[in-house]
Amino acid sequence: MSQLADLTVAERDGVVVARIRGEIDLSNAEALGRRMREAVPNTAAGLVLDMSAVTYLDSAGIRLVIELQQRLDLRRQRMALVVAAEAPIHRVLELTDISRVVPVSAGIEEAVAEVAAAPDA
Amino acid sequence: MRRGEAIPRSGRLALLSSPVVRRVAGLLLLGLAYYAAARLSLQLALVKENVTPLWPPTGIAVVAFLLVGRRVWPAVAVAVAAFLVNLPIESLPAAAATAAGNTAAPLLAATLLARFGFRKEIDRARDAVAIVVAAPLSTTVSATVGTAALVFSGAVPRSEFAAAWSVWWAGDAMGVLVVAPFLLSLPLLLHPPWKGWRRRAEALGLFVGLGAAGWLVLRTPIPLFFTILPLLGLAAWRLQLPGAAPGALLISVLATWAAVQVEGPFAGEMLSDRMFLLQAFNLAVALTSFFFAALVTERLRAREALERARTHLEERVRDRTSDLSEANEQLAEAHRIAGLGSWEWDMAGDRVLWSDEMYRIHGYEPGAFGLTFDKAVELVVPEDVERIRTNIERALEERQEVLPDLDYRIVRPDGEERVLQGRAKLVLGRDGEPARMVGTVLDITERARFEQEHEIAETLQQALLPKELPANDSLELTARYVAPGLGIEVGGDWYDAVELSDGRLLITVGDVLGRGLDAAVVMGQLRMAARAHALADEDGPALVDRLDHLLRRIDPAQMATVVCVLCDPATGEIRTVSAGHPPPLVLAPDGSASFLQTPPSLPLGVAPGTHREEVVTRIDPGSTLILYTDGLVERRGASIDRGMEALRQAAQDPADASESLVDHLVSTLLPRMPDDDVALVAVSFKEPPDRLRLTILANPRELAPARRALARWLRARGAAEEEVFEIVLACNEACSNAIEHAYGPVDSSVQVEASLGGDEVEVRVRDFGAWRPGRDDGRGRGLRLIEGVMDGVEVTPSEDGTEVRMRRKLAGAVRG
Repeated sequence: MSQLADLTVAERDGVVVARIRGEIDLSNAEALGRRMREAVPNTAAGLVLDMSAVTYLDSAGIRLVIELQQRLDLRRQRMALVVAAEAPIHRVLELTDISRVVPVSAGIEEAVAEVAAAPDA
Repeated sequence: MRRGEAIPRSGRLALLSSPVVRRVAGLLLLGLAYYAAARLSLQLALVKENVTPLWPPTGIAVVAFLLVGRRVWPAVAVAVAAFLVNLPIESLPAAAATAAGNTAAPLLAATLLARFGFRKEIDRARDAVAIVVAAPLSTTVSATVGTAALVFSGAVPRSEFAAAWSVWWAGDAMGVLVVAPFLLSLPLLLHPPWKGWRRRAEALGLFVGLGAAGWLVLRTPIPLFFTILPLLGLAAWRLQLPGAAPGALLISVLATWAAVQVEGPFAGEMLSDRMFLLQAFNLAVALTSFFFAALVTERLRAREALERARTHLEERVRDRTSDLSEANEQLAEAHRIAGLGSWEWDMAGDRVLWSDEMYRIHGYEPGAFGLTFDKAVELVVPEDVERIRTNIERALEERQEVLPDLDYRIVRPDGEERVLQGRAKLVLGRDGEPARMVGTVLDITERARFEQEHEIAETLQQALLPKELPANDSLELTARYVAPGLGIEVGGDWYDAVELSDGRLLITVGDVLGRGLDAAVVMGQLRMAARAHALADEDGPALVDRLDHLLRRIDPAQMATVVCVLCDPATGEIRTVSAGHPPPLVLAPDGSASFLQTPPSLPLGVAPGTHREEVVTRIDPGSTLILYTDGLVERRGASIDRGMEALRQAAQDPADASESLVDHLVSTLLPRMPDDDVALVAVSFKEPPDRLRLTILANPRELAPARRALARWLRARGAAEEEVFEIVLACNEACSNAIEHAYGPVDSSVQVEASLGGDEVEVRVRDFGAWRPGRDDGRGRGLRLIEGVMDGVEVTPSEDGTEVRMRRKLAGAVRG
């Protein structure tokens, strides 16, 4: 498998939905982050990162999420994660306490609604 | 005389068959013959009607004694007595004495002859001498006794004693000398050995000439009678005994007649002188005749013996020759069958001789033309001539007796090229110089062609089958491909194994129907397609479905069977999909073998849209999975069930330690030259290792494979999926840290070692750099994760690197 993960980007209700399938580690985290930044226009309300098809995630992935959040925050854009509660990577999120920085939902609808509904600062 | 043979056994004559009767009859016959001959010969009496110079009775008696035996003497005695009674001999004692003397003389003659080893055939010189010596000696007895009796009885005056004695002696001796041999030669005369009119005419001419000449010389007063002797000799020489005996008798009778008539050479002589002369002449006649005859007979016999020996020898030579020529023919036939020609090169005369087969190999009629060395070489393809010349030149230079074998090509008159294997020997002359070269040539065209074809087929087959099989800590693969028949054809069977990105292995074994290039090409495409689809993460049923479609597109008429097995080395799980293929065999660690239960399914290329079920099984570590094609279990005339049972038995039989399982199966189950090709793969599921050691390059791309390797190992050790995820995460964090912080942008490596102690897994990650302060809090987050998922973590920095040791208890560990 040449690619550990693939990324698809869609837009819903003014929110960019990025879906990653596969594994995120040190080898691809930066590239994924760059592509997602580029995929979010200034006009978008924010980004929903759908990680329900991610089978592996480590600190490099956590760093990716945090850096993305910081960039978006500078543009007053919001971000949310989608991860199933029973997924193995959920444990990583818990251990790194990421939910304090980025809201984590189990479903896309929920996440999109949260990002779209947020009032601009 | 031989007894009884010619005598009819019927009627009155049966009486004659009694030995006593026959003996008495014989004696009577002898007596009668004696008496008759005596009466006849007395007509020539010279002395007082009593003494005659021709006395055949003595000869008759000698012959009787020789043929029948001396015991018949009484017959002779009685006959003499009877005869004498009729004579005017007054005194009885004189008659008795005469009878005794006349009986004693032939008895003595017979005794002497027996002593001399006389043979009645008179065919040896010694027989002739014996008779010439015995006759005059023995008859002195009868002459003396008889003449004395006559004188005493007064029948003959005392003064005539000498004359009477000489007449008596001459007569008696002549009986023995010429009458006896004549009688003995009678059986020969009745069946004369001279056959054909030429010989008969010669015999007749000789007898007539002898008679005429004898009559002539014995009537003329000039003593020329000795000239008859060469003529007698001639008769004896030409006719042997059958000529000599009658000839001698004839001349003796003529001489006696002349002596009696006092004619010719005997004219004017006294009686006793005439008798001595006659006696001497008779002796000369007998000696000449019989000696010559015997000599010639002896020579003839020697010649015959020689002739016989020669004939025998000739027959033996003929037999041997025919044996030899038969052997030669057989050899030539063997040469013809073997395509073996032989040649000889006489160097001095530059003459090359070829065997018949040699000509045939070169495409000519045997003996079609004469040859020299250069002419023979002209038939060789130009490119090969130099090698032949070099080979010969070196042999001549170095006096090699045996030349190295040489393969070369010739061109036949019809343009066909043949490959020959030449062998040659140098023969040195007496002077040690090369004299001749002899050799054989074998037509190896077919073999050379076969070898070439075999090589092509082998190369092609190797190109169509995988060069190497994947190997890892958990699985060991061995595979064999056995070519069909003589190995000059490619087959349609294949095996393949490919490792997928998730660490699983796809193994396919398939069989495209038929063989030859078509089948092999389809096989190659199916094999590569299976590989491609498996790498694209197709599952088994989908993969087989793709192959089905592909086959119908390549060749709608073609059919193939295939079995695809996805093996997970970590869990021992195997997923099997079969398309009309015989079921895989599983050899359990305890040595028992059983077939996987695959549902019946259609081969590829039969019906579109056929769904084939996947069978999921778990295999214990230490088991071996055996995949094969039907060539291994199908035998002409035997059911496939029996073949499969044989395979199961062979797999259970422990193989020789030096032989791998696949080799054991091939050598046990396949004939030396199998009809069909066979592909065979054995997949051994190894016991998981206690300790896992990985060395990864300091490159983030190395992280994913390391994670997979560790995950497989952990699963094999019995770790739950959650445990696997977390331990892999911890290890990955440590490795990431090492890659990110320990090194600059230089190639280096990180060592990972995992081990299971009790129910606790320990993972050590070691680098060989110096940790630099983190650019951000990433490193801290990594450590926090490690601490979060592991039971304990120790970081030990040192001069030459850092080691991170992590421990985690497993809920259900598997002891190694």
